[in-house]
Amino acid sequence: MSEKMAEKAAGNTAENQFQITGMTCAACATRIEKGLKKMEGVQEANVNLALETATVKYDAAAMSALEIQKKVRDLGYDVVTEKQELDITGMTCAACATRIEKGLSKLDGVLNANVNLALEKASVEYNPAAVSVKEMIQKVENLGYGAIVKSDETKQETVDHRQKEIIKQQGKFIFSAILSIPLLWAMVGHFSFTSSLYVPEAVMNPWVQMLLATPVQFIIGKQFYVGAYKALKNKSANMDVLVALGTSAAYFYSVYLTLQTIGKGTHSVGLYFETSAVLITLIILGKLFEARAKGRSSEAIKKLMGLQAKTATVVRNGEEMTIPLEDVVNEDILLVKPGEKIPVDGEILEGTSALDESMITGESVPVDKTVGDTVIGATINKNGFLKMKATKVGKETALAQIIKVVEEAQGSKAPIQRLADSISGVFVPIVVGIAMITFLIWYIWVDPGNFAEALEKLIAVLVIACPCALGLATPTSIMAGSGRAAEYGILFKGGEHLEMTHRINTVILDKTGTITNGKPVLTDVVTDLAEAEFLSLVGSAEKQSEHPLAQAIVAGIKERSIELSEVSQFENIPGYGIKAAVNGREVLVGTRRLMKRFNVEIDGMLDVMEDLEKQGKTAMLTAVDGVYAGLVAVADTIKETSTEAIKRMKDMGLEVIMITGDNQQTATAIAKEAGVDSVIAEVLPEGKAEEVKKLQAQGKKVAMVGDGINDAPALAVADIGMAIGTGTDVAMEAADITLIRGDLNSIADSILMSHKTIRNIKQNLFWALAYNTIGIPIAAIGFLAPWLAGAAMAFSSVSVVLNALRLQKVKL
Amino acid sequence: MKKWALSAIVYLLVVVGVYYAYTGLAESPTDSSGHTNTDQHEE
Repeated sequence: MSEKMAEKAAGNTAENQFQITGMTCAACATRIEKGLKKMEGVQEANVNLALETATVKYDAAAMSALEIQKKVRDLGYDVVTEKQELDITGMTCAACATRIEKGLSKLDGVLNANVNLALEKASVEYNPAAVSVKEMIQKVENLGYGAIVKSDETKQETVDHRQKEIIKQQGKFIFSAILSIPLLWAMVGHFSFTSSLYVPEAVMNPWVQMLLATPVQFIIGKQFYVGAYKALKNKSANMDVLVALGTSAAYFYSVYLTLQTIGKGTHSVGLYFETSAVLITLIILGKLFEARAKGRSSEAIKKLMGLQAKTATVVRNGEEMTIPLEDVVNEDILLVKPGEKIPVDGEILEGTSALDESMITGESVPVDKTVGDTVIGATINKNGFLKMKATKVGKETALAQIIKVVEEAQGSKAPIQRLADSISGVFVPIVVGIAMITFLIWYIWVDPGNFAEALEKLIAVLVIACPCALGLATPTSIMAGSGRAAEYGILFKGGEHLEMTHRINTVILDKTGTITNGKPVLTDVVTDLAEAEFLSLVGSAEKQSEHPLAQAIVAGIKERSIELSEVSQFENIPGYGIKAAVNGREVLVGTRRLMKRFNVEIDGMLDVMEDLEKQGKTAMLTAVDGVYAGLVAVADTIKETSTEAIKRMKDMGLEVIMITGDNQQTATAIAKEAGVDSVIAEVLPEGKAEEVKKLQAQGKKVAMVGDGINDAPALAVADIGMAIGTGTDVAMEAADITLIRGDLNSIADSILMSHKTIRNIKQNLFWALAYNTIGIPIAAIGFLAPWLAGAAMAFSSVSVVLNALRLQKVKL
Repeated sequence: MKKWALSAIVYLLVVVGVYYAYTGLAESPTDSSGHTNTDQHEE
């Protein structure tokens, strides 16, 4: 996670992600969030309890990451930082050291930089989520010095802090359990049905019990006191307050009773040492299970990260060498042998092969690639030897972008979480109040004067009411759900989209590239001119356009070995066609509307055009120097899976609509073939967004699915925008979900995944609330012993996390 | 982890050992039979 960069700069706005430690429940997350939001310059703060991260958007001109870190520490928590030592070269005097120190300190995310001139070493303390070691080295190099990572002893410090936490909690649990078992033994020995059980005399002694309970209370339980102190210092309350209060009440009351035995020598009644010790042991056990389960919920990212190649074979200065993946730069010439992974995104220069892209696109059939084709990093070269040029490296690769999107989604909040946040914010004070009332009712009314009995009920209420399950209910499901969806090639950009998707009842599909392959071929040429001359003019003009239809026409013309001419002027008229000057002649290629706009007479050709359109072909009219010259027709083919996917959506009760700029006839022919009942045709690119709005005005929840730049406004306007493709274009930026597979089945899959995740969140919230709302009255009435309340509380957190983990096994 | 387990076992043995040593010493000169057991609350 140390390379988890999450910094974006837009003007002066910076976004940083901090790894937070010390949070125990939703109240902690809410407190940090509130504290950060109060800071001047902070625009947005989002704290995720499950991921233990805080994502902060702030004005970089007004404040720094260091101030945010200080604030988090002031609130009683800690930010994970790492230390890195760099060997510096090129320093000549103290001024150099100062310059490097200042330069490094200015990097956002660097908390402290210390340069030692004599040792030629820089020690940097930094936030790994905000700045990478590579950037520090870059900074030093920009200042005119050399820097390399001091690689030996420093690397061992970058062990996952979560793993360390698990090991620490395991040790504490064992310690606590060993000392609690004798106390539990003493207690069990007093039940009437276990009276025959042998209980050693030593464990019955109050002083021995006190000596056994004390280390558990103050060494193992220290974390609860510290947490409670920090919370109370900040005028709030969390789970630690409840645990500290409950166990302290039991412990100190027992100490009081034990002290009373001095001088009396013999008896003491109603000790509760085992209650405090067993409670702490069970809560530590719950935290241990929780930490383990939390670790499993971020497996999706680990899996994605594990996909990339570790090394690459590069040709530099005519020499082949194997280098670490991080050292590959753009334009590097790379060699990939059969069976090896493609190291980075690039373009094939030599060779042909079949590539297994299933890990990125989910497509199980290997894809044939040849010279000029693009390849994606982390895919597997199955059988051919490839020479390729790196075009995207580091954070720009498709895989890096996928990891970034999944990380952001996992760390984001779903609106449903607001409910949990608002409840847990006021929960603890209310619980303390209920516990006090319970105590008073028992002490004054139910069993007058029986302090021990009333105290027991108070402890049980305090302990059963810990809202930790409530805080974990939503984020763990979001993490597991978005992670599992990513494995299916569905990238949700945030928790809110994962939640919204299940409400979708209308799906608008763009035609080209979404329902169809988007790779039309030239099928018909109708002209009165010499065909070669006509096609040369059309091809030359269309060569300038990036529209898929234009590319199909140019490819078809090139196949006929017709030479193309230079174009002196070119204008793309979106929704109409193009206008170009070829060899001094004005060429128009496009729709009827284009001809009408330039007053070109086309009446005689309309029948031919309609015939072609009835066949689902797209006819493009051409005029040369203002006079109609002929037409070319292209046809696109429907993707193999589109018909089945559309049927599946209809079976799910969704209204499926096709939207296209094509004319009504062509659109209807394609729609009929694909099984779409409703068609919106002849829509200009800007009109797609309008059509989405019209449907929304009818109260429909609309998902727009598209792939091109022209779909971006509609994708942004729709309740959910879904972009198809490998996720590097404008459409992906505008969309809420990226469907890496080109397969339309991903639409139904994403809606299904959203349904399952939301159901899972609701189950979690229900159980978390049920534990508390049912548990509190049961404890207050006196049906729940404190140690049972502790076990139930620990079980509630674990059960919520385990329920969320079920999403990792979902089959779509 | 082993460190924690070992510490707990040693501590437990020390506490129990001290208790038996103390009761042994306290009982032998006077031969008193006073026990120091606790009445635990019943759950």
